[in-house]
This record gives sequence, C-alpha cells and structure tokens, in this order.
Amino acid sequence: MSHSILMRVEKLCFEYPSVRALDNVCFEVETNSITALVGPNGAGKSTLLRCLAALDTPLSGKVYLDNINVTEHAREAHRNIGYLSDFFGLYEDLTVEQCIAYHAAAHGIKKHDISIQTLRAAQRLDISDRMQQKAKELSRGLRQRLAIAQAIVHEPKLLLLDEPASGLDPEARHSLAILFRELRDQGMTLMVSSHILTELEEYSTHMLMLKAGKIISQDTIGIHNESMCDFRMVLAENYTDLASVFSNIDDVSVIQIDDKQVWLSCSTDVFKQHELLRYLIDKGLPVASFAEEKKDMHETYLSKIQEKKS
Amino acid sequence: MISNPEFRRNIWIEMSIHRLISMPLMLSILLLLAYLTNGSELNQGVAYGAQFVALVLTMLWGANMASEAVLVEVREHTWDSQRMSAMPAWSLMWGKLLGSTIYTWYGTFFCVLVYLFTSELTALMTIKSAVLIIASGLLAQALAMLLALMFIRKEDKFVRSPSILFVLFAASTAWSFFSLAMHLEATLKWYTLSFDSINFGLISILLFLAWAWLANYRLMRAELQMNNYIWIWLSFVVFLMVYVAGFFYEIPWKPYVNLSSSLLVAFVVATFSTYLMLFSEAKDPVNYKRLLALLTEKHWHALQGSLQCWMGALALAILSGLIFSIEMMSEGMQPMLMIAFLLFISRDICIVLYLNFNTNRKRADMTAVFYLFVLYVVFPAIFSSIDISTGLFFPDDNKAWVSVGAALAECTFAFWLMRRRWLRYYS
Repeated sequence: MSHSILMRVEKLCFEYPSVRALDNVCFEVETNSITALVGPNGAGKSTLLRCLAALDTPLSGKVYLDNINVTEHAREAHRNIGYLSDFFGLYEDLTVEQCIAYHAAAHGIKKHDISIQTLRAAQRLDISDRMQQKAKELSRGLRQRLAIAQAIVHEPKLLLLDEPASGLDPEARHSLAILFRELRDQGMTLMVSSHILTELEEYSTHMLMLKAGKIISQDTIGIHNESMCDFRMVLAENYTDLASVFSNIDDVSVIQIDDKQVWLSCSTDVFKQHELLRYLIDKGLPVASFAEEKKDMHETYLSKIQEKKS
Repeated sequence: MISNPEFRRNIWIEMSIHRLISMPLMLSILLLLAYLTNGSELNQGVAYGAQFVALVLTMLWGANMASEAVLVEVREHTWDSQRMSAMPAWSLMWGKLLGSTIYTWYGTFFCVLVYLFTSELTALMTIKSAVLIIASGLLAQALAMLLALMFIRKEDKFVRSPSILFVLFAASTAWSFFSLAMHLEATLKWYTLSFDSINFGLISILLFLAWAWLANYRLMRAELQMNNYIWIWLSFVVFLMVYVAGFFYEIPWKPYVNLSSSLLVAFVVATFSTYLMLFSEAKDPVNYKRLLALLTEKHWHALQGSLQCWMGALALAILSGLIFSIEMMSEGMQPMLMIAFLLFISRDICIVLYLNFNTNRKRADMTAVFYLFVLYVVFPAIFSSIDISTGLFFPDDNKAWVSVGAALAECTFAFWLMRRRWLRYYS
C-alpha cells in the first residue's frame, strides 16, 4: 500500500558553534502517521524538531512540508505546523478560553470562526469544562492539554511535540496517548520525541532513531502496518522441514525459523489468520500457540544502538 | 472589536476593572498635591506637574513594559508559539509595543488633559509641548523594546532581566531630545539653517521615532524567520551621519580648518555605529560560515539578507574615511592618519571576532572590551607616563607613518590569529 509523504527532509545539517548537532539527516514522514523520535540525550532530537518547525535555521539542507520549502518560506509553513516545545509556557493570567482564542486569532482564523475553533480545540483536549479557569490554576496534565489545544487550534497538518509527557503521572500519560491516537484518526500527522519508549509504543506508527545527530534507523512499528502484522508461532515439538510448509502459502512471509518457533508476517485480516492456522493444523503442525508479536520498541532501540556501536 | 490579537491579549492582561479605577484615583492624588503646592491655583506649576507624571509614566514605566513585553516571552517560554503564529511582523510589533504600554498611556491621557487645560503657554506651544510629551514617551518605549529585541537575538537564554539598563538608556535618549526641544525660547543651527528648539526637537523626535519603529519591525521580521536586507540599516547610518554632521558644519576642526568638519563627524558616526553593532550583534561562527558559503557560491541576493549591520556600517566608515582622505590630499595633506584609523578599526574587529570564534564564547565581548581598553588606554598611558609618544596603539598626528606601520602590523597579526582559530574550529 502506498502512502503519501507529508514531510521530506534532505541532507539537513545544523551546527552549534562547537558541535554539529544534525549531520546529513534525511527522512520522510508519511501523512497520517505518528513518528516517534527517539535517541539518547544530546542526539539532536529537539534541534531537529526546531528545524522542522522553522524556528531555527539549518546550516544546509532542505525541509519540505507538502512541497513548501520550510526554511525559505517559514511563515507559510507555520500555517500548517503545530509545535509544542519541551519547555512550553502559557499566559498564566489568561483563562483557558482566552489562551486558545488568542492562538486562534494569532494563527489567522477568521473572527467569526474563533469561538467555534476555540471550543472545538478545547473539546478535543477535554478541557471545555474549564474555559473560565486561569492557566495558572491548572494542574500539570491540564496545562499540557491546554498547550496542545493552543498548538492545534489552527488545525495544522503536522504536529511536532517535544517530550510532551515529561513530568506527567502515568494516568495523564495514558490519556495523552489516547489523545494522540485520536488526533491521528482525525487526520493529523504527528512527530513526538520522547525518552519513554513504552509510552511511544502505545501510539506510534513509525520510529525515527537519532544518535549523535545522525539517523541510525527509520522503521515502521509492526502493529500499525495496516495490511500485515507479525506473529510468533510456538510448536509443541520439533517438526522436520518446517520451512517447506510455509513456502506455498500466499500472503505469508517467514521472518525466522527456530527449532520449535516460527516468526512470520501475515495479513491483519482475522479470517485469513484463521484460515492460515487451520491449514497449518491440517498439515499436522503441533501448534501450541499462535500470537501476534509486537515489535518491542525498547528492544529494537537497544539493538539498533548496539548495532551502531559495533 | 480590536483585530490585532497581540494588542487584544495585552488589553486582557493590562486593563482590569480594578486597574482602570485605580489609575485615575492615584493621578488625582498626585495632581492634587501639585495643585496644593502651587498656591491652590491651576497654573503652569500644575501643568509641569502633569507633564512630569506623564513623562515618568511613559518614559520609565512604559519603557519598562515595552522592554519586558519581549523579554518575558522568552523567559516564560511563550516566544516560540508567537514566532510560529501567522501574525504579520508589523501587527506583532505594534500589538506588543502599544498593547504592553496601554495602561501607562491610559494614565498619560489624563495627565496630558490636565496639561492642556492648565498650561499658560500659547495655544500652539501648548499643543506642541503635548505632542512632544507623547512623542518622547513613544520614542523611549520603542527604544526599550528595540534593545530587548536586540538582546534576545544575541542571548536566547537569560536568567536576570536586563530591562532596567534598557529603560535607563531609552529614557535618557528620549529625555535628551525632550530637553533639547523644551528650551522654548532658544534657536539652534543645523548646517546653515536656523530652527526654534521646539520645532527642531519635535521633528527630530518624530524622525527618530519612525526609525525606531522601523528597526523594531525589522527585528520582529528577523524573529519570524523573514529575511531583512541591509539597505534599511545603511540608510539609517547615512541619515545619522547627515543628522549629526549638521551640528558641526561650521565648527572648524583644528588644525585642518579648511577641511569639512561634517565629513569627519560623518566618519566618526559611521565608526561609532560599527563598534556599537559589532558588540550588539550575535557573532555566531555558524552564521559566518553560512555567510561565507553564500559568498563563495555567489548567492548575492541571499547574501544581502545575511550581512550583519556592523559590516554595513564598516563599509560606510571606510567610504567616508576615504572621501575625507581625498579631501585631505586635495588640501595638500597626507591621508596617513585616516589610513591608520581604518587599520586600527580593522584590528579591533579581528580581535572581537577572534575571541568570539572560541568554542567557549561566554563573555567574549567583555573580554574584547577589556583588551581594547588595554590597547587604547593602558598602553598609551604607560608610554606617556615615561614621556614617549609612540602612535603604536592609537593614530598619532605627529607620527602618522609610525601609526600606519604599527596599525598594519597589529591588524595583520590580529587577522592571522582570527583566521587560525577559524580554520581550527570551523573550516
């Protein structure tokens, strides 16, 4: 299945006076995806997000958002980008409604649409019951929600979030994950940087790994591939010539075979999965378990880092 | 309804009911005091009292608000969201400048009303004075915000607000124009023209106010990642050269009485602008790297947008210096002194850049100021204390050739140091 590309980054380099923070970074962001931007401290994640948001000017390279050159036409790009910094601030003395309405107006939303868009953003973030509360009176989780409401009030195509869950309790983090999935379902594309891989795993479709300013890996995260997913099948006992059993099955590709285990990729369609399982049992395979294998982001991350080191 | 979102936001914050009531109450008490101390009469004394309060409100309080309007956004981490808004630079600039100071203007409005009704000057003079009060306040606020914008372009992280320094500079500059204009009976000469002080002061303030607003607009554009070309800055420096030189037109410059003092003053103004901007602008090596790349790739259009202001001012200093040298030669004099001046300026620039090209650039400018102080003050003082006039560290009229030689050697050495450091870290 082909995906349209929302953002394209070409040979992006960014330097601080004493260090190259981004070194020939190239990648693409699919429309309607959630990309987890991961990497160790100082890898260049925040710098990359700031370059994508056209807040910092790279030394060289290009960033295109829907064919708009972000660096050259920053103002145009800003209409389609929402950005939330890791150290975001709020206008503490304004009410929630005023904060969102201000950002709506600042993003050029027409006067008669401001109140509608303000309410819509508040409802999406589930803070519409606190419209008259001042920002300084909100809890950490609610402040985060207000900041995101401000960032999405103009319905950007791309939402960039730098460490959005830092400082939040597990419950707030979980509800943030639900929110990101909802935003994606509503058509938005997200890029989220975080250290907390388990949290990213809850909602990300892609993972972009950055180390020392370089992209070391860009993967899709299996469970979110729309047509295929990974499975692990465990057998009760050894089966000779296991590979030949799978060689004639359509829409199934074997990833790895051990003595009593097979990792394979097959359709997400549950009826096709059922047919596959029945076929294997009919063939006499002693199937003990057949379960979806989630690609563990943490393991992937560590293995990639190790791979890079070696 | 007010359509500028930034202006409206400031009104939400600044104009609460409580504040709207408290300002006229406080002013009433202050003006009552002025009334009682002036023999319980509504006379010129009360008018001056109202004028004083208006100046304090606009030049001090207002300037502080204008400066903080920018600084607080950076400090409280709201600046990025403003930079990413769709607001045009002009709207953001005036929304911030007038919005953040709206409360002080609310108070000033009452003061100016009292001034208009109690002034014993002629009607025309009263109106001019009132306009002068307002224009001075606007100038102080525009300058304070300008300094804040310059500051955040240089320092993107800071803990202590330098606002008080900006307010002092802005208020004293606006005050100097105001006090020049308020010599009501005096006249002054500018080139060959004579002006009443109040007219000249008023025109000057309005002109500088327009430049200050334009400068704020351009810095706001830069903050919004829009390109600024250097021509507006060059126009301002030329304006400043012409403006300041007008005061020295008929003052002979000893011993070269036949030479144009104005031309020399224009050179001094351009040189001063070069140093001012050299120390005010961020000297990020990465920007210079980008600049060099544009230069080598001959992207002339983009280059105009990347040149720093000190470079433009330096070009004007060199140009005016050369014109002055030509005039010197036409009078049969050696232009060596001017050449020495230009070489010493180049040496200083190399020293400043050398220190800024270090990997640890913290306090590089302060270190440069210290080195220049040693070169221009301490060394000459040591030599003069032993009765030796050398011309080694500052152009010396009596030893012009020595000065040129020394300046050339020092400039070459400073350039070599700067280039070596550049090649070491950034090539």
